[in-house]
Amino acid sequence: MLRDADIIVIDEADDPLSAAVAAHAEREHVVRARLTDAARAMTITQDGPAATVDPPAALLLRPLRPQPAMSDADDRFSWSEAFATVWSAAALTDRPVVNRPGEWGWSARTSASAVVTHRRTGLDGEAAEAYWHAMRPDPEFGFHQSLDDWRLVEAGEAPFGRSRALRRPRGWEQVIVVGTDAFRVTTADLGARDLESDSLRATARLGLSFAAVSWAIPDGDEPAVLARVNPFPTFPDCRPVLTDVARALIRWLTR
Amino acid sequence: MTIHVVGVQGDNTVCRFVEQAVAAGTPVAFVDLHAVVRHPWRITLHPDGDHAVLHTAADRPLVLPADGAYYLRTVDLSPVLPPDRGRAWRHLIGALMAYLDAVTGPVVNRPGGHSHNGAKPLHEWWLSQHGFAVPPALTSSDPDRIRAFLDERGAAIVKAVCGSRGTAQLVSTADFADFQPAAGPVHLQQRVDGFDVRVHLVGDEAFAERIDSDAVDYRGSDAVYRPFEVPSDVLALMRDAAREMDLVFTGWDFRVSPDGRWWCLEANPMPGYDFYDRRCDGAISAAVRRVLVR
Repeated sequence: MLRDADIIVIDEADDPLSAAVAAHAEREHVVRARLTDAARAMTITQDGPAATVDPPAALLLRPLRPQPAMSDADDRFSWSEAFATVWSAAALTDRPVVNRPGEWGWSARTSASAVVTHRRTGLDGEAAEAYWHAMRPDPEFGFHQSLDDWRLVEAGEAPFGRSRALRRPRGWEQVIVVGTDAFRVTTADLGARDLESDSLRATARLGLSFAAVSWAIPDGDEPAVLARVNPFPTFPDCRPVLTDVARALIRWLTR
Repeated sequence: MTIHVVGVQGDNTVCRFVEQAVAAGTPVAFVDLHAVVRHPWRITLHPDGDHAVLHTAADRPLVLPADGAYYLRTVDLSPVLPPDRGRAWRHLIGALMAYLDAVTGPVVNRPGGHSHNGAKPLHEWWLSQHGFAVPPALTSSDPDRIRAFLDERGAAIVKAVCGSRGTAQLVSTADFADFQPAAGPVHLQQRVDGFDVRVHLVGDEAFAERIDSDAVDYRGSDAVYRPFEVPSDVLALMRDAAREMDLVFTGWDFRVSPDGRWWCLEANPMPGYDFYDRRCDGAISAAVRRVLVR
C-alpha cells in the first residue's frame, strides 16, 4: 500500500534500476508505483503559503515513457493530470525527493543541449552544437549522438541527432552522483582530473541529487569536456557501481 | 528590427501579433513549426557566435541572430502527430528552445522561465509564497477528503491540475456523492464571490479589464468588459513575480471579492491574448512589440 510506504518509487514496471534499489532496502518499506496510481494516492492541501502532501513518503522519480503517439484525448488529459499532481506533490512534500522538481520543471535545470547545460553549470569549454533530422551537420562537427537513445553514431546515421564541434576523444568516463557522493564507473587513469568533484559541482548547480554525468576525455592534459548530464541514470549506467549507488540512494531517501 | 515569430499557422494569437506588428511597420520572420517538421532540418548553435542557422529542405536557410527579437508560441504537439513527425516535432522544439534560452536578445517568453503554471498546486503555492492572496485548494482522488473540503468550504471551483485549458466549473458535495478515485485526481479551489479581472503584464506595463458575468467561467459567456485599474501594491507583486519567473509577458487572472481583496487565480506564461487585444485597439500587441524591438 502506498499509504504505508517509507519510499515510493514512481517508475515504469520494467525499470531494472528501480527493482535493484528496492532490493537493496533493508528496514525501509519501498513501494513501486506507476504514475497514475501514485497520483491517485496523493492529496495536496493548500491554505495560504502552507502546503501539505499525503502520504508523507520519500520519493524516487524515475523516467517515464512519453505518451503514445496519437493516443486518445481523454487518456492524454488523464496522464497530464497525474503528471501535474506528482510534480506538485514532489515539489511540495517535506520528505526527501531524489531530483525534486520545482519551479523550473520536472527535471530541475537539466537540458538536452550541451551548450545550455554548460552555461547553467558554469563550466568552461563550450563547443558548438548542431541538431539535425535527415540532414548532415557541417564538417566542423566531428562527434555525433542519436537523440533517441544517445548512442554514438556516424554523421547522419540516425534519424535525429546532436553533433558537437569536438575531436573524437581519447575515451570516456561517467560519474554517478547521489547527493554528495560521486562514483566513477571505471578505474582508468585520468591524470590530474578530478571528475568526481567536477560532477558534484555540476549537479549541484543544476539542482540534481541523482545523475549520470558523462565526460569526454581528450588526449594529453586538456580538461575533460562535459558531454551530458542525465537526471535519470539507467541500470547499465549504474551497473559497475550498483551496490554503492543503491545504498546511497536509500541513505539519501531516509535522511 | 525584425521580430522572429516561432509557432504554428492558425494560432489566433500568433495571427493577431503578426498582423499588428506588420501593420505597425515591423518586419516579421515567421517560423512555422508545422512546415519545418515535414522536411529534413538542421540547426546549429554556436555558444559565442552571433547567430544560429535553421536549414530546412523546404525553404532557404533562416538566420536566427543571437541579439534578435523572438516571440514564441510553442506547444508540444508530438502526442497528436504520427510517430515520426511527433519525434521530429519534439527534437526540433528541443533544439530551438535550447538556442532561444541562450540568446542575448529579448525573448517573449524565454523557454528557461518558470513552468509551474503546468502544475496548479505548485503554481498556486508559489504565488502564495510571493505575497498573493490565493484561495485555499485541495488536490486529491480521495472521496472522503474531497467531500470534507466541500462541506467545510462550500461550493468550489474545479479546474485542471495541469496546464490544459478547461472550463472552470462550480461543484458541491452532491457532485461527488458517487466519486471514485479512478476518476481523479481533481483540483478544487474555494470559490471567491466577486468579479473577475484579467491583467496582461508586458514588461512593467499592465493592461487590465474588469469582467462582470453571471457564468462561472466568463469565457464564452455574455460578459461585460471594461478597463480597470490595478492597485499599486498588487501591481508591484506582479512585476516582482514576473521578473523572478523570467517571463516578460504574463496573463493574470484575479477575482476581486466584495471587501476589495484581490485573489490571484493564476499567472499564465503564454497568454492567448488576441481576444483582449481587440478590445483595447492592439495596445497589448504594441506593448509586446515595444519590449521586443527597443
